[in-house]
Amino acid sequence: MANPRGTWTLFKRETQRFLKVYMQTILAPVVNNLLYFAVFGFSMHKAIPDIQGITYLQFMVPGLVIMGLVNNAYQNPSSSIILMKYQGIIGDLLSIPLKTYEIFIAFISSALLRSFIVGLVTFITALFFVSFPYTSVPLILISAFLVSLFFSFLGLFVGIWAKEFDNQMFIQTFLIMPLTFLGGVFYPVSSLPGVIGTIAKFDPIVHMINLLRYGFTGIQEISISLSMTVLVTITVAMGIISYFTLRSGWKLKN
Amino acid sequence: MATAISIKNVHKIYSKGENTTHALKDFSLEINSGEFFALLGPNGGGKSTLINIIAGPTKKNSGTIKICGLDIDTHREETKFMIGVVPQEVNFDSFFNVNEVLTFCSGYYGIKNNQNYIDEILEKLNLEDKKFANTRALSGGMKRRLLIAKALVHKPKVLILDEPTAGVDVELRHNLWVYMRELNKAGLTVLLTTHYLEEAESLCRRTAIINKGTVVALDDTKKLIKSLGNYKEMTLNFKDKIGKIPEHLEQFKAKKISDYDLVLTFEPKELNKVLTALKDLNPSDIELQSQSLEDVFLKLTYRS
Ligand SMILES: Nc1ncnc2c1ncn2[C@@H]1O[C@H](COP(=O)(O)OP(=O)(O)OP(=O)(O)O)[C@@H](O)[C@H]1O
Ligand SMILES: [Mg+2]
Repeated sequence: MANPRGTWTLFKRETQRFLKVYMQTILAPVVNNLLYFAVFGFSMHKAIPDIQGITYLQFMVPGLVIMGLVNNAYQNPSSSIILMKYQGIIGDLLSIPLKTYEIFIAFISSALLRSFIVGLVTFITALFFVSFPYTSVPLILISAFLVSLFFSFLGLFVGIWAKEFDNQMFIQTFLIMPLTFLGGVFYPVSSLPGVIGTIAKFDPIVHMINLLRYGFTGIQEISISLSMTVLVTITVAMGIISYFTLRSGWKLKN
Repeated sequence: MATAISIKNVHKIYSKGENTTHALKDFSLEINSGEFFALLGPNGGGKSTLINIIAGPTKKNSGTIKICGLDIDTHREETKFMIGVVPQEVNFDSFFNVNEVLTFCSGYYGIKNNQNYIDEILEKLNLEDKKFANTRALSGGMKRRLLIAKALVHKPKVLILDEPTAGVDVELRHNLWVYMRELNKAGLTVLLTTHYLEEAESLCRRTAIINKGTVVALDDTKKLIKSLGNYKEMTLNFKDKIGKIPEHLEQFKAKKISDYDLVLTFEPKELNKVLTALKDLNPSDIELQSQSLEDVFLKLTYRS
C-alpha cells in the first residue's frame, strides 16, 4: 500500500525545515565558500602557478562545489533526525503510515535538494570570476548527483546512530573535514608528500573531486573510469547500509 | 460484536546489557468496536509499552495484535491508518506552527485540503487562537491538546490516548471529556489510560487494570469500582481543639488524626448526608480525597 502523498508531505516537511532556517542551512555555507574563494582564489592565485594548464581559480572551484555538496547532503538528514530525537517527535516518524523506503526517499530527496541549492549557488557565484571549458556536462551532473547521494546516505545513517549533536560533529570534524581537505580541494593530490600522499590515495573524496574537476576543466589526476567505479560502488554500499539500518529500527525503536 | 483491538499473548522484554525488564507478560485483551475503554495501572505497569507497540515505536517480542481484524505485523501501514495515538510524552516540532503541524499530519495520511476539519478540531480542543502559534510557544496543557488534535486529523476508527488529561486544567479536562464522549457516540472506539479513577468512571463502560505487565482485573467500570469499595475521605480542620467526637459522625467512621483534624470516610452517595451533618460544626477548612489508585492496587495485590 504505497502512500505517495504521505511521502511527498514528509519531503515537504524536511525541505521547509531547512528553508525556515536558511541563514544556517543555505546562506552560511555559501558565505563560507565565498570566504575560501576570496582567501585562496583572489589573494593567492597570482602567487600560485597554473596547474596542468588551468588557472588556480579554475582548479579550486570544482573542489569548493564538492565541499558545498558534501556538507549539506550530510547535515540535512543527520540534523533533522537528531533534532527529532531531542524534541521527542521521532516517535511520530515511526507511527505515521509510511514504509521504510518512503521515509528513506523523503529524507534523501530533501537532502539532495539542499545540497544542490548550495552547490549551484556556489557555482553561480564563481561564474562571476572564472569561466570553464566544460569538458563534460553530463559527467558534472552525474558525479554531483552521486556525491550528494553518498553523503545523504551517510547523513541519514549518522542521524539514526547519533545520540546527540556531538556525534554528528565528531564525524564531521574527524572524518569528513580531513578527507575533504586531503582530497585535493586546494591542491593536486599528487603534490602531497610521503605518507599523507599514500593516505590520500584511499580517500574517496579524491575521486569525487577528480570527476567533477575533469567535467569542468578536462584535467584528471586519476583515470575517470576508476574514479567513477569507486564512487558508484561506495554510494551503492552506503545506500544499502543506510536503508537497512533505517528498516531495522536500530537506535530508533525499542 | 466486532473487535476493534485484539491483543493476544503479548510479551515485551526491554533489555539493556544486564538490565532486563519484563514490561508485558503474556498480555491479552479485547476491546470491542465502539467501546470507550479504560486501561488503569500504576507507574511502570506497562500501559505505555502496550500503546507504543500498537503505535509503532516499540517492538514486541511475541504475541499478536489486530486492529479491526488486521494483524499489525503483516498490515503495518493499513493498521496505522486506522488508529490515532496520543503519546504520553509531550513533544513538539519547533520549526512549525500548530496549523502547519496539523496540515503535515493530514498529508502523512494521504489527506489533501483538510483545513475545515483541522479548524473544527482546533475549536473543539480550545486551540483556535493558537492556530498560528509556534508549537514551542504552547503551554504544557496546550501541547498535550495539540497531540490529541494530531491523533484526530485523519479521522481514525480507533483512538488510543496515553494519559491525555495529565497537566490539563479542570475546566479544559471536562471540555475534553465532552468532546471524547461526542466522538465515541459518533462511532469512534476509544482506549484511554489514566491514573484517575474518576476519569475511567465518568467515561468508560469497561475498565482493565494492568499491573506489572498483566491484566489483574477486567470488568464493567462501575462494578469494578464497587467491588474495590469506592470511598471518599474528608479531612476537617477546626480552629479549636476537638474534644469528644460528635456522636452523629460515628456513622462516617470519624477518626481524630490530631487535636485539630478529623477524618471522615464515606461512599460518594452519602455526600449529602455528610454535608448536612457538618452544618453546626463550623470547620475552618475541609479537604476531600478520593481513594487513591495506590489503595486500589494494594487491595488487588492483597487479594490475589
Ligand atoms: N525504553 C525503555 N527501556 C527500558 N525499559 C523501559 C523502557 N520503557 C519502559 N520501560 C520499563 O517497562 C516497564 C513498563 O513501563 P511503561 O512505561 O509501559 O509503564 P506505564 O504503565 O506507562 O507507567 P506510567 O503510568 O508511569 O506511564 C517499566 O518498568 C519501565 O521501566
Ligand atoms: Mg505510561
